[in-house]
Amino acid sequence: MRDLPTHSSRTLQIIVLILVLALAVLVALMIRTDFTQSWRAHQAKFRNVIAEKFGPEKAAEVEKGVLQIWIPDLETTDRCVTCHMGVTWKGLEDQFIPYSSHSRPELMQKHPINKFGCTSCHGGQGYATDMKEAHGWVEHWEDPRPDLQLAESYLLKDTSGFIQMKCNYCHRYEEKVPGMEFIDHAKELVKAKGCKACHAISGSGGNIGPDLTYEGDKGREEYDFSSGAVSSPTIFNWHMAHYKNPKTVVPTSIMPEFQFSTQDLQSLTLLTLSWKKKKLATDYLPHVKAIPERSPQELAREEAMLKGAGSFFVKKRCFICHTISSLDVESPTNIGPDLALAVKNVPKKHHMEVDKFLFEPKGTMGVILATPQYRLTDEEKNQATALLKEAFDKAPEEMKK
Amino acid sequence: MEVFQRGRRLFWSYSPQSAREASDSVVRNFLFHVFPAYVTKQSLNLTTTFWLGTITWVLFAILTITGVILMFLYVPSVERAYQSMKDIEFVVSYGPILRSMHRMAAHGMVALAFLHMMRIWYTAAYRGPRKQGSKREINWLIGLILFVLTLALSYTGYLLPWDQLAYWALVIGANVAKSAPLIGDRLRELLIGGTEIGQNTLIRFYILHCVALPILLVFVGAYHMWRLRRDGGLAVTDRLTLLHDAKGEELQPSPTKTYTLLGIKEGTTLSVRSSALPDSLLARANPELTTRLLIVILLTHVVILGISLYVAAPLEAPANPLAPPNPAKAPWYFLWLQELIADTTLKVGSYVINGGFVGGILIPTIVLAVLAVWPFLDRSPDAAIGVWFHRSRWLQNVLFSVGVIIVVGLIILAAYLRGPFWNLYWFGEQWPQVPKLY
Repeated sequence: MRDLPTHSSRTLQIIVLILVLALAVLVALMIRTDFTQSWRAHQAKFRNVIAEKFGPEKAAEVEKGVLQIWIPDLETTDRCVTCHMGVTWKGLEDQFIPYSSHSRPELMQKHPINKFGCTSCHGGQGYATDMKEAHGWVEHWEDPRPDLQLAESYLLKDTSGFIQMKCNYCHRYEEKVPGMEFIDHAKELVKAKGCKACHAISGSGGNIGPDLTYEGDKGREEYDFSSGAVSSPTIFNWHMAHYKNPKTVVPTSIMPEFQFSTQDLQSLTLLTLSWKKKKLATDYLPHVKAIPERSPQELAREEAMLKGAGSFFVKKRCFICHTISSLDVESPTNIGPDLALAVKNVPKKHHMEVDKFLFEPKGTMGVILATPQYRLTDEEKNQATALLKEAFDKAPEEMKK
Repeated sequence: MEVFQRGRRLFWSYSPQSAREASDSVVRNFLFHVFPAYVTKQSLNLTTTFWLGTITWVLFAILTITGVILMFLYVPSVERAYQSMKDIEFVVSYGPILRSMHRMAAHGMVALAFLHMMRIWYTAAYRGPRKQGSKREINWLIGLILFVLTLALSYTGYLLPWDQLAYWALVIGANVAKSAPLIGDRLRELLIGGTEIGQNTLIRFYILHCVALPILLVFVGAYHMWRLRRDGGLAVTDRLTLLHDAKGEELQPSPTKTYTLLGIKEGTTLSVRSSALPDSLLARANPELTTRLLIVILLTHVVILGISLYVAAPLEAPANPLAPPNPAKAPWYFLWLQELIADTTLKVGSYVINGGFVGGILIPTIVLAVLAVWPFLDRSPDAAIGVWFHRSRWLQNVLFSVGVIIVVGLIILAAYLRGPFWNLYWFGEQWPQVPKLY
């Protein structure tokens, strides 16, 4: 039997002891993390608020622990109520957030929290139980909760616009919804400015511009900020700048400038971003009358335009910009001049006869006729010229003066 | 110290009254029976191994324990995987710490396994005295397999959260598999379990990560350890017996010692030779080795838990097959391969070199093959065994170091200097901003 020490050195034993102590301290620190989470403090404070206002018996009824609203239909798990405990209570309007009642009880009544949760209207990260993470202003969370600071940076007076954008996920096919002023206004603009002449939206419309049905789903990588016209690289800013002046953002764009006001721009951007592909269970669809696509009169007028003397201008899409009043062709946008007077105005403006103009177009028409969607064959050009002369002949005398 | 001694008995049963009892303790305790009764003092020295292989095992143990707990919490489905990660992060008690420990230990295991490999190379521990019939080279091969298994475990592991990192790492992996000549398409299908990345892929990687690869690693790892014993312990022990031989004295092992496998194999193993070394060079495995092992285990736990308390494991946005993150980067230990793939995707005239094949398959295979055959071709003298940076191996060490520097350099290049579209940006140079919604 070898005569070797049977115990390890004291130094090693002390190192073991120190490490055991260090591990014990770390385990204690680990256990502590569970008790220092901020939602625990909020829940304790909320119980105090309830005890003060409604008595200790009510306070005892307040639930404890992580609370969540789970809505499989919307694939939503919202733990906001873990801290925002007051939202479902009445009579806490005077309290500070997160202990206060919901500020819009009438909306809550129509959209029960157990059916809609919180993030489907407000955005943010419903999974989270920590304030910064929950409000969503963290890396890798792409749908943060808009706050007042954000609203101000887009010249909005409050965050309601952003919430309306989310309202429109479900209310998309309604013309007017109380409380959705931005979106209602934008929907009016879409109709008034004739966006569908060039763009397909929800399955109908022209094919000159891109289909906008799911424009809100466009990924951040698909936006081009290289023009430098967008002040800070956000998708919201991109749309604002683009609606204001399309050519500065997309130089090759043939989309006209519509002289929108700031409110128009905000509304249209919010509406565009709301156009997302959403899988909604039927009972989430609002049971209201949908936007009438076109009224019977409008349909009749369209039919007449397509079959009447000016049908050529409709088929060749000239009507997108030009009205030809004497041939009963009406443009939805009226960007260009009325062509009923082309025979008289072309020589005045371009110093050439109307017969020659389509073969050697100048100015805007030079650009437009060069784009593939608008290119005309020589035969079509002659046909157009003949029709323009006919339109001029038919035009009333007082107009010609 | 009396109190310390008495207190110790509460949780430490080892208290031998005689030398015999001390020696027996190794056999009497189930956990200790893997150890020899005696080890050379030099094997216990910190600078001999820095305990790198041991730490790798401890990290594997941490990974197994945290991993099994995570298995109770994780749902391997495309719809629920990401949500269950968020649940672990936000509602499971100590969930974030658990996940962080698993992630940090995984990083550590890759790093430590590689450092362990470097140690083996620089001390020429992959070979023993040929005259005595040493076959340490085989254990080097086993080690390489273990390293590849470790990388495979890492790769399959970081796919499970089903976030952007996971999904796009899968896309890259699938494309690398596809770039293999002849069998590419089949290999891709085998890897992702179909023609498209989806539920089939996730369940495949889940089973690989949680069942197949760990079991394989345990078995191959057990063989690694058995071979270590069979080869006579650490290479430094070979050095001691060689030094002894050089003095002209013959080692006289006890004739009762054979260490043959059930008497099937004839002769004695190398460890029998080392058992004949004089007492002055030896120490009892228990307590000298066991106490140090305890220190390594405790220290590893302290470091991993300490880091995990303050560093969160990353979780990116949910997997989006339509929009890759830009740049999409692999974890650090694969970055050098990703960089190689990017650098070897070249256009020469009208001919395009397939970087996925060159950088993703060809170069790693060549590197592994060279590493595998190297010890068999190594003709350095026996005097180099178990010695750090022995002079006779300067060329080999320089070559290996250059390789390591290239790999580390590529990792740094890819980690810090590659921006969107894998363009080069110098330190401190501003990357183009990624647009946000608002």
